Amino acid sequence: MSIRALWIITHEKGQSGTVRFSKRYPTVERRAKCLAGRQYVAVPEDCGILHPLLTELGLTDPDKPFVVSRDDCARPQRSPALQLHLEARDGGALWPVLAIVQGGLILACLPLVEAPPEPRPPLPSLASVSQGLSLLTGLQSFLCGAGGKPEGDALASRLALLPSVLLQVCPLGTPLDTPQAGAWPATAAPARRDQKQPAWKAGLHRGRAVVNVALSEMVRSMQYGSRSRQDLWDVYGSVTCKCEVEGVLPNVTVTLSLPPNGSPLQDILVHPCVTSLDASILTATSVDESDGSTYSGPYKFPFSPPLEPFRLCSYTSQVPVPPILGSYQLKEEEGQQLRVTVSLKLHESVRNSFEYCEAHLPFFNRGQLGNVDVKVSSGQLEVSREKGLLVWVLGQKFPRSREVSLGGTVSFSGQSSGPTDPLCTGLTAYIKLYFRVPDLTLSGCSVDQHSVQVYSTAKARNTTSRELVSAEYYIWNSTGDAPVSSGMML
Amino acid sequence: MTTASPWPQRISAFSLSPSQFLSSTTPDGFLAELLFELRDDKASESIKILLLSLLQEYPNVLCPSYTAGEETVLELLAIFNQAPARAVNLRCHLMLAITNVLVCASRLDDQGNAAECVLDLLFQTAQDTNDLKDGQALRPLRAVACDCLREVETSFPGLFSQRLEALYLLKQQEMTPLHQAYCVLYTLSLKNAIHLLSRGDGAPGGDIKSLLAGNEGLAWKAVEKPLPPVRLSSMGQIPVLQTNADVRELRAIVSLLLEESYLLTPVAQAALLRELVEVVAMVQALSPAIFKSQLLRLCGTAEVTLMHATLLMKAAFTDSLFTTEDENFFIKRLVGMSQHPLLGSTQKLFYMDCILHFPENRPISCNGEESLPVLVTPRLAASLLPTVFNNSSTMLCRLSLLSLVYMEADEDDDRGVSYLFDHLMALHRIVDNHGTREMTVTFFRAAFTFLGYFYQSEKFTGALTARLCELYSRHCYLAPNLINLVDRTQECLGDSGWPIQLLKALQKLIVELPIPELTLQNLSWHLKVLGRVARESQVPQRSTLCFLLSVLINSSLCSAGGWRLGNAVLTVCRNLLLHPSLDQVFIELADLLQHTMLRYEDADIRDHARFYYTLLTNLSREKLSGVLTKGPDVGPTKVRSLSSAMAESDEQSSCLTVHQTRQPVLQLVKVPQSESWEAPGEGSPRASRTPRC
Repeated sequence: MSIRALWIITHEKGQSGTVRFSKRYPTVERRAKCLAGRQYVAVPEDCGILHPLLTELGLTDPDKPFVVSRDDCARPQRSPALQLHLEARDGGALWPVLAIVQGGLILACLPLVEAPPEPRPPLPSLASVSQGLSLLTGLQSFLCGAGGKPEGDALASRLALLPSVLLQVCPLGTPLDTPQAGAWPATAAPARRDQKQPAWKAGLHRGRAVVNVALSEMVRSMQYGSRSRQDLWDVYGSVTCKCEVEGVLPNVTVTLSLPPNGSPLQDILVHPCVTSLDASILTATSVDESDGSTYSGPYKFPFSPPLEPFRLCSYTSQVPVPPILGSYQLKEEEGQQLRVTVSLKLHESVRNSFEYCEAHLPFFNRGQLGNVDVKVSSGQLEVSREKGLLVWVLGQKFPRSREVSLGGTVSFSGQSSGPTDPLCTGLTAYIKLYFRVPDLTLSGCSVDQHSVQVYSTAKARNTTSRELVSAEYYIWNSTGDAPVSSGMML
Repeated sequence: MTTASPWPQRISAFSLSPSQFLSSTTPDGFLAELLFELRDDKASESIKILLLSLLQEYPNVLCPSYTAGEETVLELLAIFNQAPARAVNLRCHLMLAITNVLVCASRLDDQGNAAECVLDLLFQTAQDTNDLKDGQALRPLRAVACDCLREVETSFPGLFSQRLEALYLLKQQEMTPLHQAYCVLYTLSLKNAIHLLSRGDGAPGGDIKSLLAGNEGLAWKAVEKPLPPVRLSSMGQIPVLQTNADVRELRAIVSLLLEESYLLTPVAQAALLRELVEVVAMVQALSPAIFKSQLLRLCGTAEVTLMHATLLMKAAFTDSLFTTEDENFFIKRLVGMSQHPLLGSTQKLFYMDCILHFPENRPISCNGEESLPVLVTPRLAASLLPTVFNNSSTMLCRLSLLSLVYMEADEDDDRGVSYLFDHLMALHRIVDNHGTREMTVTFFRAAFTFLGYFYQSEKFTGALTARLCELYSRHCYLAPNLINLVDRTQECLGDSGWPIQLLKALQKLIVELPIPELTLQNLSWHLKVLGRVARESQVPQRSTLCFLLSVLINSSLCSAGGWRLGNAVLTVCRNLLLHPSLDQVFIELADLLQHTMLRYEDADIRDHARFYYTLLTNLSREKLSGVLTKGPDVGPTKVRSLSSAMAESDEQSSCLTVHQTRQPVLQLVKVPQSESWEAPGEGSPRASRTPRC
């Protein structure tokens, strides 16, 4: 359950890449050598890892359309573990290299194979693999933070902290913990006599008890406006907690509840600090409609909180209606001109109070936007000619009728190049919606402030919040072909 | 030796390539420099920590012999003892460096002074539970000491097997978050001790009871023969401890460890569970049901390590821990997690891999290869159908998994396969609309995967051939991808006629192209494809030859084609010289070669054409193939065949051996600014194109 080596690499498009950080664990390497015997392949030097790794990730030779070593159709690209073909004198194949790519950042590690190398053991039989995955995911959030864009000085300063982070979480190749995205806990608490302090809680909170529970729900939708194809939508949510409660192992219980006719929360995943779970909470799953589970709460999550904010649980849910139902029609008219008709309707059950609501209408493969003669019944229209994009800003509210429309014609200046997309050719086009509604969930799921129970000496101040945010919310042009977005329609 | 450049630069140069760095100095010399700097009181702590990182990562490189290793350990110990007590960070790094050098580059036995000194130091440091003696400031050092002990026990399993009680007490006493370190160390030592015992290698007369009460020195003897790893996936191989003795105490210990596992970090919990699974598997008097209380918590987790630990538990105990219902629930959970919107794509790929290697209670086969659990029905897997919105790896993984699902499903109902084919065609459309290079590669990988499962279904393979030809007619630069697909399907699907079918269709497409519309650039791709087609004995070649001759006569190829295109024409000819139906196209090929040797602008091409023409018209078939067959490698057969090209009798051929030279006789070097239409990715023109006679 160890890893042999770890690399952090940055890679700009069209460049060769740089090893920004690397760490080898020679005691683990010693074990790898014993276990693999003659099939042992040593971890290459830093200068020898870059090219094989980038080749395997398809990032070498960007100007060449086909390179066998990179583009071979028989290469099993579908596994999370890569096999690197080393170029050194004695060559060999390094397996299983795990890698996470985020933008220009590549995190990779080589878990120890604790089994005879031949025949190659299946990945799930190797305990080190999930340890490696977990370490990489932790490092990823440590390096990228919440913003998700690791660049320049911010990345350099994070990388400079890595040796001390690894000293704590993985000093000798066997992970002891996952790097945390936030600041490292400052002071350690002295030992207590009565209760062992959890290893995931380095310090203790002192002062007023505050519990903050935030419920965030994302809604996805694919609407086709077609009789032959069913529209799709679903939601997924997560509950994030920040608990400042005194004590070594304070007990807190958060209860999620659904309205009387709400559909069950499915695919529930919980944080490891949750102490006990009721089996009925876990049975509902989105992958099998026939499971017949009718349990619809209350969903009780007793836990003892860590110091930092954490995701207590997440779920998915099937809701009866999409919050905004749209239709989109494009017609080609004479001379590079398109007639555009859009209507959006806000469902009556959804609170008409947005933080923001925008509809983006991108036009691909047609050159830049030329003349735009489009009227909207509500909100404002912004035109970005170079990007070939119309942005319909709907603002905070739909009108009283809860229906808005957009109509008119757009034309394109054929000469200048505009945005391209291989998916959206001909009349295949979409509108993408972006919105956020505070204090609302579509599933109806809620955390009552009074249902948060804190068993501690001081009375806790509880705050709860919820929100609905759009994610991948598409309305496809009903006069063109739209790509299949889910096999569930089968 | 250069000492002028500052340490940080030297260290990064070393890390980039130790072998290159040491080529200008020696390990001894560099090590001496490192140790000298470490002893220097004036050197800054941060520099010292940097220097130690080299000893932590490259102990074998810096100490190539046991003696060097042992001396270095003693040196570092001396530096450790002299380091100021406040310098906790430095001492942590020193301790890690010492352990790394000891484990990797030194001998570990009771004779070795160094090993005993180090283990003494580690135990001394670890003994200060709850910071009673040294205070909280030294806690990080204690954490490192515990991890070093764990690493030593991992590297030399059984070394602490006679000290279990002492380790247990330390684990019990510790109340700070460091109890995890003691808990992990104890569990590992316990498992190794039981493993030794089960192999009959433990202490004489040992049983579990005395094992748990052990409070003696280090078991140096145990270290002499390293323990093989326990393999849980194949239960038959696990060493089992046959004991009727009382295991109550052990059961209580395991229960307590499980109960307190909640206090460990998820990765440490997963490791602990793994060790305990091995303990329970080895001690048959312990029932796997001991894990039952943890299962629900583990199955609900969002942590990949804990989910994986549960899967490994399932593999070890199957139906003695998981009922049919549990199993059903678990597999649904895995399917759900394979597409959960809040998990990262690497994790989802891993869960899909877990489905394909799911340890079923009643497996149909257990060869360790990918197979579909019976419980994964088309209905359950429908949520994993691939779409164009997936990233490449996810899409390919889903395609492969669903292909397996539909292979096993009802044969009369091909809706599922149709969906997969439609998906393939959606990718086809994207590539056709100038999708990115990544998308193109993904499409060909998807096609390869699809063919791997459904190559016997003519309905789909026929359609795929047609669509690939369409794609080629519009984007002939995809020739290398298509040839690669043909090569690989031919290798992997030995009995399938599909690759030939595709090649025939491509040949037909190319030879029917109207010549006036051909550009030289497109022609280079067509020649590549025709060159590949010419290697297939089952494909008639007359149409290829007629086409080529027509192109040579009616286009600007001869005057403007240049060396590269001429060479591509000759490649086709060369392959045809080896073709079994050569006799049927003899005249056409002779005409083609003659035309080339007379009319082609490039002298080298003319020469080669003449050479091929001479071979064609003068040699018997056997000799012809003897000359031209390219062996997989230059081996004895090659030597023989080349020799026999020049002589009739055996006596002479044995004299005419081919001498191999280290230096190439002729080497073509790529000119920096090559013509832009050259097949990129193919690199420089290959010397092997030049006949070596």
